[in-house]
Amino acid sequence: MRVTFRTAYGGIEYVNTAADQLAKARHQLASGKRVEKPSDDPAAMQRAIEGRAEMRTIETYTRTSDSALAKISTLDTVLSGVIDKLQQATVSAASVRGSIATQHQRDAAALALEGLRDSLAADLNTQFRGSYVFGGSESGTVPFAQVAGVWTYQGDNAPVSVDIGAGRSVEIALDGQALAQGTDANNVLNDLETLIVAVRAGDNAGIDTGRAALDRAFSRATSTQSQIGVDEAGITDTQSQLTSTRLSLLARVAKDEDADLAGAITEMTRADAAYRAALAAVGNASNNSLLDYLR
Amino acid sequence: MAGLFSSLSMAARSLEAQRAGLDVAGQNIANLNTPGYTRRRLSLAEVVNGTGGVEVLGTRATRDAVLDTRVRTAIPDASREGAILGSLSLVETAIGAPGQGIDGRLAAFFDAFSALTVDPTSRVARDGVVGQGRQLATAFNSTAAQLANSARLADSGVRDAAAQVNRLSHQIADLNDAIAASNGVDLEALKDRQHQALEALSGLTAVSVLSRSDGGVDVTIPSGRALVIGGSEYAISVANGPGGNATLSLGGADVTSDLTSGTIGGLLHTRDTLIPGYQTRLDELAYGVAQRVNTVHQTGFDLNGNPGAAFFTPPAAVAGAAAALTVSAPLQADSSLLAASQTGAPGDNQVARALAALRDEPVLGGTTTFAEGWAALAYHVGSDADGARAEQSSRLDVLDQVQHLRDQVSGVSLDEEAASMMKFQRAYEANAKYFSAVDAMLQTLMNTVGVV
Repeated sequence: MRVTFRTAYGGIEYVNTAADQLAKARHQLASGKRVEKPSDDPAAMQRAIEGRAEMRTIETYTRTSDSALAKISTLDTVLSGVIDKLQQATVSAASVRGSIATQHQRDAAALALEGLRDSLAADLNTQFRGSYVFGGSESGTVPFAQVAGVWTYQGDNAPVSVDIGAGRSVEIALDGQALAQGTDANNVLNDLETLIVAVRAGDNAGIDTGRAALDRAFSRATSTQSQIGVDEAGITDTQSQLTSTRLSLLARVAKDEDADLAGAITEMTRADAAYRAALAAVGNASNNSLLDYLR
Repeated sequence: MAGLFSSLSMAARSLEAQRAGLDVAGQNIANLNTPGYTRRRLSLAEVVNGTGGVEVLGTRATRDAVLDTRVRTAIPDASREGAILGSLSLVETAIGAPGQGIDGRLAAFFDAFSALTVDPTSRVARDGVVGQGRQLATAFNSTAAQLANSARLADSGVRDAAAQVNRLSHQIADLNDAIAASNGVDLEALKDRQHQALEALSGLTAVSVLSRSDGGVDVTIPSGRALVIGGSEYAISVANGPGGNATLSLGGADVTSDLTSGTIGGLLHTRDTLIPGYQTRLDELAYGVAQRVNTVHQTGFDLNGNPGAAFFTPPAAVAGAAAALTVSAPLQADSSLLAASQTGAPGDNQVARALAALRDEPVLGGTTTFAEGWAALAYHVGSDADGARAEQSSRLDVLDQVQHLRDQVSGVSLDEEAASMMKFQRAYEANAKYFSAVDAMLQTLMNTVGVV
C-alpha cells in the first residue's frame, strides 16, 4: 500500500472528531444536562417533557392546596366562633327561663342576645381576601342582610370547590343557608330575633322553641366544622402524597435529562485521552521522512 | 555501433530525460497540497532505432476511473445528510430544552387557571390567566415563525445550490472545449480541474458522467436530463412555486422531484417533507388548544354575568393556526371578560376548574394531552436530526474509505518523490560522467590523431 502525503498529513479529521467528543463531554459536565436539544436523545427528550408536565401539574395542586388550606383555616376559626356564640346564646336564654327572673334580668339577657346576634351575623358575613366565604359562589354579595326587618340569605346554594389532587377537591366557600337554616323554617338569626322577643316578654314556651332552634343550629355548625376538619386533614394528607409523587417524578426526569456525573467525568477523561492520542498520532506521523536521510 | 558523436548525443538525450524525471518529481512535490492534483509519472523508453539511449514518451497522470466514479457516487449521499442536519439544527433551537419550549408555556397557562380557581374574582389571577394566554400564543407564534424561517433558509439554500450547479456546468462545458482543442497538450491539468468540478457538482446533486472520446465528459442528472453535452451547458432555471418555494426546471421540464440526493436533495427533503410535517403537528397542537379552551370558556359566564366569548381568536383552519394564535382582543383589554363561572355567580369557579383540568385531558384526537403532543413533536425533530447525523457519519466513513483508496493510486507520496529525485539526480550525474568520458575520448582522439 502506498502511503501518500495526504494520508500521512491528513489525520486532522481524527483530531477534529476527538476534539468534538471532548468538547461534548466537557459541555455535558459543565451544564449537568444530558439532553439539551431533541437530537441529544429523542426518546429521553420526549419522556422528560411528559415528566415535566406531570411535575408542573403536581406543583400546581400543591400550590392550590396551600391556598385552600388558608381559606379552610379561616372557615374553621369562624365556625369555632359561631359555635361559641350559639352556646352562649343558649346559656343566656336558659338563665331567664322560668318565673323567678325579673324584667331587669330578662332585659339584660335580651341585650346580651342582641349582641350575640350581631356578632353571629358578622361571623357569617366573614370575608377572606375580599370574598364572602359563607355565600356559596355569590362571593361578592353580603350573605346575610336584613331585608324589611327579616334576616335574608342572599348567597346561593352552590359551594365553591377547588381541585387539590387528581379527582380530589375541597370546599373553600360554604353554602351559608345550609349552615344557618338547614331544614328549619327560619335561619338562626331570625330565630334569635324571635328568641329575644320571647326573652323580653318572659314567654317560656317561646324561649324553649328558640333554644331548640339554637340547638339544631349548634349541631349543624359542629357537623360542618368536623367536615372542614376532615378536609384540612385531607389536604395535609394529599400534600405529603404529592410531595412523594413529585420526588419520584423528579428522579425520573433527572434520569432522562441530567448528566450522570460519574459517567460524564469518565467520558471526559476518556475523550481527553483520545484527543491527546489523536494529536500525538497526527503529530508524530509526519516526523520522519526520507528527506531527512538524503544528503 | 555508432561513433563517438552519436554517443555524445545519446548522452545529451539521456541527460535531458533524467532532468525531465527530476522535473516531474518537482511538479509532484510542488502540488503536494493542491486539491484535485493527480500524481504524474514520467514514461521513459529505450530507443529502438539502433542508436540506443533513452527517450521521454511523456508524463501520465495516474488515475483510476473506477475509483473516481465511486468517489463521485459516495459524495451526494454524505452531502444530502449534511444538508438535512444543518437545517434541522436550526429547527432544534426552536424546540428548546425540556420545560423551556411551548411545554413550559402550556404548563404556566394551565397553572394560571388553577390559581384562578382559588380566587375567581381576583383581578390579579384574571390578569395572570390572560397574560399567560398571551405568552402561550406568542410562544406558538415564534415557534411557527422559526419553523417557517428554517424552511425559507432551506429554500434559499436550494436557490444558491442551483446557481452553483449552473456555474459548475458552465465550467465543465468550458473545460470540455479546452480539452477538445488541446490536442493532448497539458491535458492532465485540465482533467484534474474537470474531476474537481465533477466532484463539486456531485456534492450538490448526484450526476451521471459519460466520457467523450476527446477526453471531455457529458453530464446528466439521474433522471436523464442533460446538464452538459460537449461544449454546451443547460442551466437549471429557478421559478417561484407554491408558497414562494423555488421549483427547479431543466430543459423546460420540472425536475424538482428528480433531485433527491446531494445538498439540493437534502434541502428539498427538509423544505418539502420534514419541516411541513413539524408545522402540521405544531398547527394541530395550536388549533387543539384554541378549540378546546374556547369551547370550555364559552360554556361559562364572565365577571359581569355575561356569557363567555372565545378566549383565543378562533383559528380559521388547522393550517397556520400556530402562527395566527392570539388571545382575543376584548379579553386582552379587559380580564373581567374571562369566564370562570358556570352559574353566572361571580364566585363560582367551575369553568376555571374545567379549563385547568384540560392539561391532563386527552384532547388531541382523543388520545393525547397537549404536553404529549409537544413531546411527540420534539421527538420527531430529535429523531430526524439524530438519524441524519448517524447516516451522515456512516456515509462520510464510506466516502473516506473510497477517497483513501483513490489516494493510494493517485496521491503523491513524499518519500517516493524523494527517492525518485535521488534516482534521477544520480542518473543525471552518471550520464554527465558518461558525457565527459566520451568528451575526453574525443579530445584524446583529436589531440593524438595527426600529431607527428
